[in-house]
Amino acid sequence: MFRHRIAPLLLLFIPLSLSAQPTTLAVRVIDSQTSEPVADARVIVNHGPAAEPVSAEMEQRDRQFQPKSLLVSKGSKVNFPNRDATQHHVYSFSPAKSFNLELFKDQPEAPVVFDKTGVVEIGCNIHDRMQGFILVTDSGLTARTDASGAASVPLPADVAGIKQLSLSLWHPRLGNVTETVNFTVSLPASGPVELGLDLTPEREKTGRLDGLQKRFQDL
Amino acid sequence: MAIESRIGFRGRLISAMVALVAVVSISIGALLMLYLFEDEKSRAMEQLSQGERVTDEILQRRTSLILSRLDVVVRDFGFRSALASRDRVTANSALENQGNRVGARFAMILNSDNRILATADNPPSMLQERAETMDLLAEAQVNGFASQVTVMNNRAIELVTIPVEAPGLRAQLIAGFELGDEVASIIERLSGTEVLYRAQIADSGQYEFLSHDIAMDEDRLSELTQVSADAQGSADFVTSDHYFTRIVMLADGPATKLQLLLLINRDASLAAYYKRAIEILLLISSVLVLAALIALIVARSLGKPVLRLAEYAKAIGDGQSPEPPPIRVGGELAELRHALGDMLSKLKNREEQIRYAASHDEITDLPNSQAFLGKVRESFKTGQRYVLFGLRVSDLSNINDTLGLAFGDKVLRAVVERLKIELPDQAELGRTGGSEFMILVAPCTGETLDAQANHLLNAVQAPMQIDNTPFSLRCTMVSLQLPEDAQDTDQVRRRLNLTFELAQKTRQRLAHYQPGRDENHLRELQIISDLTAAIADKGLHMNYQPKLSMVDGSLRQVEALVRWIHPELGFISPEEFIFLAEQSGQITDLTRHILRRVAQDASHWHASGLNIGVAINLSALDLSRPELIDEISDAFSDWPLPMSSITLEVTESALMDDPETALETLGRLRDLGVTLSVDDFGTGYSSLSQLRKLPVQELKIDKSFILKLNTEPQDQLIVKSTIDMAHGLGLKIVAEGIENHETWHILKNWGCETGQGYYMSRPVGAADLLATVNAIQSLQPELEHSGEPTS
Repeated sequence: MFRHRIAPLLLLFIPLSLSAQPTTLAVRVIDSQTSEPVADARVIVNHGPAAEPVSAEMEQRDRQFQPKSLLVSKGSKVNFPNRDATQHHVYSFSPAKSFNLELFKDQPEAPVVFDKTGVVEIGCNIHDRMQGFILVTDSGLTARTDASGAASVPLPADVAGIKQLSLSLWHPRLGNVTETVNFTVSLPASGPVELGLDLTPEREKTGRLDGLQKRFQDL
Repeated sequence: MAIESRIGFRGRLISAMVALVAVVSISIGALLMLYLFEDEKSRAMEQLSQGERVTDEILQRRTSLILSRLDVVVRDFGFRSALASRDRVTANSALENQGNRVGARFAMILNSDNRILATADNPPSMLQERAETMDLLAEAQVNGFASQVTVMNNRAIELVTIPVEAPGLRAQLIAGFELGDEVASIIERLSGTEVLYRAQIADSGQYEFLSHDIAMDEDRLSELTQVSADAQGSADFVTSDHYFTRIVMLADGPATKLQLLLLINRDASLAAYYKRAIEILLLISSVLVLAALIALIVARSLGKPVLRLAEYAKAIGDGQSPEPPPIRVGGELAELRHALGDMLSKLKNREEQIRYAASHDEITDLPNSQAFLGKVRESFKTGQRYVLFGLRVSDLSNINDTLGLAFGDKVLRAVVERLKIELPDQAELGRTGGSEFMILVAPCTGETLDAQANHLLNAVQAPMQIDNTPFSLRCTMVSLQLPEDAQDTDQVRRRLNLTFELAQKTRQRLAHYQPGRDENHLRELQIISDLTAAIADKGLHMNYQPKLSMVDGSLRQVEALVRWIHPELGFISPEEFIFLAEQSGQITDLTRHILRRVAQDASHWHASGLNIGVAINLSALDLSRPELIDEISDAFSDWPLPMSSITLEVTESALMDDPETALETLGRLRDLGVTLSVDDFGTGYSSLSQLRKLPVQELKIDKSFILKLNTEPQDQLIVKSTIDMAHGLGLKIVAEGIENHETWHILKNWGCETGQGYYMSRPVGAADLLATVNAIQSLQPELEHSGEPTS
């Protein structure tokens, strides 16, 4: 996370490339194990001006967080409306934001403000299978890969001039989902830049205990 | 072979049977024991395998239970909150609380960077390190949990790891649970085995038992320690002295090895095993005894008839005629009994034949000598009086030689025929020798005896004709009065023979035994038999009677006279024993002995200065021996006097028996230079023509003419003319038996050269000769004095 703090230093160089043409950074994210294209990977360019804080929502529907992951700028407020008939107890112990919304229906009393960058992992205390992620970033240049793993970020002129571009990538199937993975991309690049992520295989729908039970039944 | 024959049929049967039963029952017993042992072992194995399965199940269920509990713990929101609070004290206390709930001995929580988030109940210092060594964390990451058993601080600890995953919280919980006596007792209860934990000490490779209070003594423990050392590879079922052991590996890492021993104490099963062994042994023993008894009964029922038959055979062998033993069984034994009975009857027949042949003469069918003397012996026992006749056919051997043995046999049979006709019915007749018969008849004496004997003799001697050959027999018959004339069969035989000899000698055809004859005969036999010993042992003595020259009364010569004092019979006259020695042929030894003795004695008196010659009597038999010459020359080889001083006296009769040889011997003796003298002249039938030819120098007139010479005119005439005749023939005269002074002077006046008699001296021993010489010396004047003149 603190790497992001060097961004302001990088900004000093932006005037040098003001004259450059506006351009787009095209990346293609693949699973480095299987070389399959990775969809729904978040791509963050750690350059450029910080984005304005926004208000966002991560609602609970059908005992699922919806959307499962959310990317917000630092200082944004996120609301966790409950669309289910049951109550939910939304919480996180993540260092970036630790919060605890005790059992509630409809709407918590107040939105949660995410004032630190980082990956905040969110769960429900009474529904273990519910899992959600909120990426808090201070960068305005972000993208999300499509089904073919491709994503493109339009780069402002000051950023486009940077030869060595710093990128952060995140995906819910990362080995350690609590951190982003950083890349450095040399510009200009001809065609989309291919980036590989070490992903864990798709987790089965069943929980951990089910696996245990299954194992004992085998004995 | 020796043993076999010693133990016998029954013994062999019994031992074979008992041996067979022993082999079978001991084999079965041994197999049974082996089976029991194997059975015990396989049952123990089965139980231990079951115990192992139970152990696995219990441990897995326990792990599962622990995991279930831990899973609840790590999902507890409060617990998670406490951990997420990043407040160590809070986290520790929360962990301790949860750890106590699940019964963990200790617990620890590591975050994803392996930093300690919380600890509870003082986990061992090497816990984190051990967890890493055992890959617990990685395994838990992959599998969602991890569980392994290890040894920590000498305790068997199951380490269970489970991830703590909450939104924003990534950590691992490691909790330790002791596999203690509780688990062991559950296993013990379910499996029925004893349970011990033991761990290998990393360095030494030795195993140590983990439980603190093991109710087991040192020996057993060390036995079990040994068991482990032996158990290598897959051989995790071990049999030792007191235990069957199954080794269950709980942890087999490089650092720690932890084993669970399932034990079955063999004490009880061994005790049961030994009890069975004893029971089986007892059973075998009683079976053996039973077998021996049955064998004994069978052997007895088989052996008894055999023994009876053996006794039967033994009785037959002893000459008895036993009844055949009753034998119920048939077959071989009955056959044997019949064979033995058959043998008995044949044996009896043959015995009878042998006995008859042994006691009868095969030619005449009469009792033989043995049988007849048996009857005589009977008569001695009963004291019955008999007359025993002996009859000998004189010319039977001639008949056998000329007409053949078969003819001789016919003659014998004819004799028997005749005797049987003549003898009364009660008379006993036996053939006791080739041509000898004995007859026992009723007692009779004198005329009657002679009449009966002559009747029998005449009957046998009457002319007979056999195979157209006429001839008559000559017989001798003798009689003995029993029991007066003989008291036993030896006497009968001897006295009968004696009487036969007498009859033959006297050419009588009938002789009766005279009492005492046999005793004389025996005395003679004794003298003959003892004479040899007397000669060898110097039992004979020599006496010497001086022969004086009648011219001057000087002692010129002594006559050697042999004397024998028999230790039992006393004095035996020389006439008697010399006569017997001549009869028996011992005379040659006797003469040789006398010659040596005389030469020996003479050498002594010669040494003492007495120059006296000797006169020695020779027997007729001596003259027939050419060796005599050498014997005399040998005996007198050292003779210091002229050989003519040795006079050899020979009786007239000796010269007359075989004049030719005697003459030759005398000639050769003459050649030796000795003087020869005719002894006892006048008593024999010597012919004067013969006398003229003899090379003798001397005549010795028999003392029967001299003893009463002074009073008998007839004797004087004979002696005077004999002296004259001898002088006419150139012979000298010796007179012996001079007993008085008158006779001496008569002879002296007639010119007799030498005199010998009691008047001058009796015969004396060699030692007394000197004294005798002196005595004669003193007699000298009387001898020279002429007394009254003779006509």
